[in-house]
Amino acid sequence: MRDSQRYTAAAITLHWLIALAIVTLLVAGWWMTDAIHHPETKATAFKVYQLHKSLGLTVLVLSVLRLIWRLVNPPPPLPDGMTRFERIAAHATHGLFYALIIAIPLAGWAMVSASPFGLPTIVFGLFEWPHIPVLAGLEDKRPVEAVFRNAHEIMAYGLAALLVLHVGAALKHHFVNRDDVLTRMLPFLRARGRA
Amino acid sequence: MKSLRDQGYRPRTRLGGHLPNPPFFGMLLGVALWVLSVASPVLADSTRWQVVPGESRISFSGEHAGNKFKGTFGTWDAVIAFDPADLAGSKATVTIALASAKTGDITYDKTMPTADWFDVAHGPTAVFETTAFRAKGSDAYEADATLSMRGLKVPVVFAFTFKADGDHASLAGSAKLKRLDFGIGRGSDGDGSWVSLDIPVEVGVLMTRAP
Repeated sequence: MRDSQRYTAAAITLHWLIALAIVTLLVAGWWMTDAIHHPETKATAFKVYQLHKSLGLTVLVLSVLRLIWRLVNPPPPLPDGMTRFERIAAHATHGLFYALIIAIPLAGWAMVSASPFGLPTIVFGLFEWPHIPVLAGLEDKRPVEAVFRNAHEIMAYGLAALLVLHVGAALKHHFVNRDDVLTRMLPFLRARGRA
Repeated sequence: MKSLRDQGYRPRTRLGGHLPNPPFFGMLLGVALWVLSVASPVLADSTRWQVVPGESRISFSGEHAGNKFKGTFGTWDAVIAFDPADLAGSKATVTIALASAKTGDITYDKTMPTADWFDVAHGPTAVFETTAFRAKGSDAYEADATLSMRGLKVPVVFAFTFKADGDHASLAGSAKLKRLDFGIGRGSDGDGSWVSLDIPVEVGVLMTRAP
């Protein structure tokens, strides 16, 4: 029974890699969108933009892999003591999480593709990630870029809010409910209180 | 620097494709014009010079988002007839393959050939052609010239020094180009908030006297 109470090693690895990348992306995105407008930080901000694009695409790939992995390897069930409302809230939060961590990089990719500047995306300086052809070929790109930029930003703020909720819920499960919801996603640990 | 001819580039005849029938006559005229256009520098009286590849470079520089960049054109050809004693008979024509521009930054190098920048798909070369020379004292000179690229022909001033030593000569010069004069980057950055509007071009050439 122990194995089915924990997430698989692959799911745990993907969760924490994506979590680390998302926190980095949120901080970088918040900083660079302002810093790019100031002469003294513009040069650094441009480089951070390039890293942000690379890291965002990494999240896109990892998130799709994770979703596929999840469909093949269903996660352990929620603890027995949860109310119906808590269960619905947990599933809705996680569903929205998956939607956002895939939709946000897609919107970013679309916005880069529709940028009038036409800068290529070189993933971590190694290889070129193509633009979305239909957007890169548009006659008037600016309004389309603006739509995706707004979508990218609004969803990123939504993700930040969801992240607070997610961390808060995990801590509540661990310290208030004293169940294994947090520990079963922590690496190098065994499930609590079950043998 | 590589020669354009080594790269399979051939000067295009200006009229050959547009002449009416009879086709043979048109072809003949086209060939004659081509021979004239290629051979005309030979007709100049002053000294002809051959560029030493590997010892010569054309570079450009600027700033993007606060980062300075510097690039070179790897492939170009120059037909140079220059004699300080006969400036009126002097003439230089330089043909530059725009796709050979490299900065060493893959992001820039992938962007430069695109439609809003060099647009190499519609015009693969830039052609610099002098119209007059002025002596500025000592080894210094100034050339009035035209620079044609992206379908626009713009007058430019090229300031340079020329030092001849027997059969060798060195030339170092620069021109202050404004990218919007050629419509470069107008669509993406028409006010220079990203890429500097001033793009200085530096030329350093070693030459040997043509046989």
